[in-house]
Amino acid sequence: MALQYISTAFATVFQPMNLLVMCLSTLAGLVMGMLPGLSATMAIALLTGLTYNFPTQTAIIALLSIYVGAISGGCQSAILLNIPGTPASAATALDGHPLAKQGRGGLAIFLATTSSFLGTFLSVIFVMTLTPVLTKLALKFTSWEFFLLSIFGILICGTITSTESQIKGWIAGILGLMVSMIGLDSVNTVARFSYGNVNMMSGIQLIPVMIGLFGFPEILKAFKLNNDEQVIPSSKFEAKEGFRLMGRNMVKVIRSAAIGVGVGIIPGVGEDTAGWLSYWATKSLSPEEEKKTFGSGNPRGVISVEAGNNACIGGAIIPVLSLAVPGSAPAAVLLAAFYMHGYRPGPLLMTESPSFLYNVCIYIAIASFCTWLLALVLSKGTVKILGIPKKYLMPIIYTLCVIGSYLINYNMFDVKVMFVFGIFGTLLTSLHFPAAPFLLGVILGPMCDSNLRRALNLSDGSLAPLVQRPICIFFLVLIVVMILAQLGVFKKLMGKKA
Amino acid sequence: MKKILTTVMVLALVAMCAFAQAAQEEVYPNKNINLTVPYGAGGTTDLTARALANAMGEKLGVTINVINTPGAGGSAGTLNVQNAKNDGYSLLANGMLAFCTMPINGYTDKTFREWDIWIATYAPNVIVVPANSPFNTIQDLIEAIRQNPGQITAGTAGIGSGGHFGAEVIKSIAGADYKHITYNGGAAAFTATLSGEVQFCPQLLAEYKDAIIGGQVKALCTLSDEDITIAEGITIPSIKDFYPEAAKFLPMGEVTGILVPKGLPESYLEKLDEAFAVAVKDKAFLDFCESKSFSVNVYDRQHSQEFMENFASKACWLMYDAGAVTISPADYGINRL
Amino acid sequence: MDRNTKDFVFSFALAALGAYFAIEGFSIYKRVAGPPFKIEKLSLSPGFLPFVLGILLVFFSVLLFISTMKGEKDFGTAFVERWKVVGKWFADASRNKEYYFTIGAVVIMFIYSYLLLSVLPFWAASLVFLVGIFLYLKAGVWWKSIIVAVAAVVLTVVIFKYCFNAALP
Repeated sequence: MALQYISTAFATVFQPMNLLVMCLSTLAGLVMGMLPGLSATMAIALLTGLTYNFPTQTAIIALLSIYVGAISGGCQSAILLNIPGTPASAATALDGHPLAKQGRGGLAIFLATTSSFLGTFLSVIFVMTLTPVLTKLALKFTSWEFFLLSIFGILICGTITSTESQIKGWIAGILGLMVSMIGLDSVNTVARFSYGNVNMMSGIQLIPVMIGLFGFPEILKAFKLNNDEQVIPSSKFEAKEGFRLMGRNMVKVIRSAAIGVGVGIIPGVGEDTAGWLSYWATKSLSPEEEKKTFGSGNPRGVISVEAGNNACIGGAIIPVLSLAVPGSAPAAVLLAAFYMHGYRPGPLLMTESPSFLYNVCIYIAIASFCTWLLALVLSKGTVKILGIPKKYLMPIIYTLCVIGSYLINYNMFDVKVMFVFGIFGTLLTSLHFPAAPFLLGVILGPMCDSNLRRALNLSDGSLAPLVQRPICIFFLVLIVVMILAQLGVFKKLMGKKA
Repeated sequence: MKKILTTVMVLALVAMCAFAQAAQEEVYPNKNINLTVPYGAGGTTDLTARALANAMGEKLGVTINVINTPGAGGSAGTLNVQNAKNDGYSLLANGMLAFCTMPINGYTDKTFREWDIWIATYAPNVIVVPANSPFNTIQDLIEAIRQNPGQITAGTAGIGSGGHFGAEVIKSIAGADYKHITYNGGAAAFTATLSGEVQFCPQLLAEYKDAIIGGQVKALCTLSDEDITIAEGITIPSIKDFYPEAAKFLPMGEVTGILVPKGLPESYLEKLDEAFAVAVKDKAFLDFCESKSFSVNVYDRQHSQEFMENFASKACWLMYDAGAVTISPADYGINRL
Repeated sequence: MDRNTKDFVFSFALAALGAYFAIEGFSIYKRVAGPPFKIEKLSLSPGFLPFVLGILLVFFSVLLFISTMKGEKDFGTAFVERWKVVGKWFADASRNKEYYFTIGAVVIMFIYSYLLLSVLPFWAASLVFLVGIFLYLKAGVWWKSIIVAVAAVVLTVVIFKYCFNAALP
């Protein structure tokens, strides 16, 4: 039965019209992913309207392709410019950009793209085989688990990205959480920190913060009086080396993919968190001497992040199909599109339209292959961007940032937010505070706040469930171990200096 | 010198073009329209809005972009539209329950009377419990609430959501309070019910139809004024079958439509009237409503105000009498019927 | 300013921010405890997390402060010394042409983001901005700057308006 569906799906994809649509959508997704500020969510949203009148299967192919393309595309600007194209790629820049500066940008892109392809592909296998099981697991996550997950994510990010002391990373995370408190709170709609300004009351949008935080410092680097620029040699793919590295690291790819799928299933946590968790897993599980090389161009860093954030696509689709609940923000828009085309994702999907699951899986798998090819082709061109004089490039990038910020809500306020956070980001970087935990704080803040309050409401203010529920205990143990490890190091430092 | 000359020329060129653009004839609509949905993507209001947007956009000849601005029980997006420039390119799609209770929740001073409204669908509330819940009938649930006031947890999509109203109806009948657990939207409330985090959920039938048929939740009753058959052999009784005194609240449920603050030129409004009339007859829209068990319940701009007087009064006084709000509807001229 | 001194100064700013946040969080809690919300417990209040975060921030900034003062034998003089270094930095900075140049560029970006875009349509504002900043940065010959600016604006408008069907400001 399943085989029949799979072969029908293959046949559908390879119709010329659909193939063409797939290539175009993937291309559009890659481009939108690359442009800082245009996220996967926006890409799907824009395309939903366009494809409304397409024949159903073509529309689904288009939407899935643009999703895959957008998540994969973000790595290119992260590697080449140190400005993540989408929040999902924020972690790619950590090791990707140093690689680019060493003249190995082509290799980095090759690794990132291949890992993205493998990550998506593996996640599809998970979807096809394990959807019912994984859905049950997702349902075990209630408010307490969500709260701990958000804390965990921020702690990890803080730990990974601080080069000197973890304190700075955690402070950045706290600052990010504080920013997310601005606006009307989601449980009681009380205005917090909005000073009567209507725009502030709807909170600070994520994308302008990301663009400002990461983009501004890079843009400002170009604004120097002197004219001497280090010309970075534009690099080839080093495909042989790339394949060799991929082969050696297959275990890490699979592990990152598993983490990505896991994160994707959990409704509300998306590709960005998946990237960070995969990175952290690889870094923590690598031998001591290697740990120090993460952050200065370790290819494993790039591989894990991209495998993880792309695997999240499959993971996010699982709850969409089985529960009609989106696993991440882009998946939410995808869900709306599915409804519009007459499908009923959710508990009845397998009885009403059982072929849909297989269709979606095959489409994603082939789209990921398509993305791989197109991304590599595109990057031959994008790598040349490294060669453009920064003084021309950066202002143009800034205009793109403005567009990106504006397109979220068609509101000029977001552009101003981007500017403000840009200044703030420059401040943070010059003080050697990592910007990534800040971003994660802004992303996970609402989840952290509303789940904590909800959980406390359910337990009448008691913290007891934290130590009673199995998944919570798991997280707590991880968090405590991590903090102790850091403080242990810290104490050693104090001991040595004194 | 050359630099200055060039800069001046460029600026002059730019200024000319800017003026040229402004001087063009304004035909409505001549660019894309933004439809704000004050909830997350994939929820009932969002999907209804998208279906309407597609059909209306086709008639008007432009794309209607759906922008999700969730937060604060629907007020974040609503306030955005209320405070934006009213040039006809900024519309709102909302559920009327949440919308008409905004003044008594203290979010705004404006009432529904200051908006032009087109109403499209009606979605009744349904009371569901997780599949393994000890409650099998609505009487079980209400008895439990009476015995344990303030303890039985209800999950809703937020304060002022359709679910909140459903819960308040239950509270009135039981004569005792429930414990309100709010989630960020219908989807989150849905997963919470499935996972058993809350003991019952009074949200909208549209969200739970498939889960009821699939057996993941049990439906105890609906707040529509008739029994509803959602599938072969599955009929959900109306609550008035068990508690006749509930009839005065029925039909309770979310009514969704498109809104725009009053003040647009009549020509714009007529275009919107036309587009809306076509949209509610559009096949894709009707199929969509059918699949979700929405009733297509159309009130055009002229008749919606009358409907809203009735509806808002029922909804606002329900909230006030239940003690969920302290601002009296009478302060805004909304009187008891 | 070396790293230690930067951290030293910033830890004060952070502590102040944390204190403000905690106080504001607490006042939110007080405000909401009354009608119409009547949220009595702190742990259920919207002010809870701001309050906690504020306190955490103060805690961490104290830790940061301590880490900058590690190894200083004489606390008092070290403290004063640090502030003197800061003062000197400001004096130096105001004389440093580099800073002014960068600040100038930022001002141009500010004008673009806040002023130009509110009055002119996107393509016009961007054109003015790009030409202006290319000239300011002395990015190249003046006519090259104009060509690049025009090309960039045209390309952007085409891609967004026509390919993606997205409205620009």
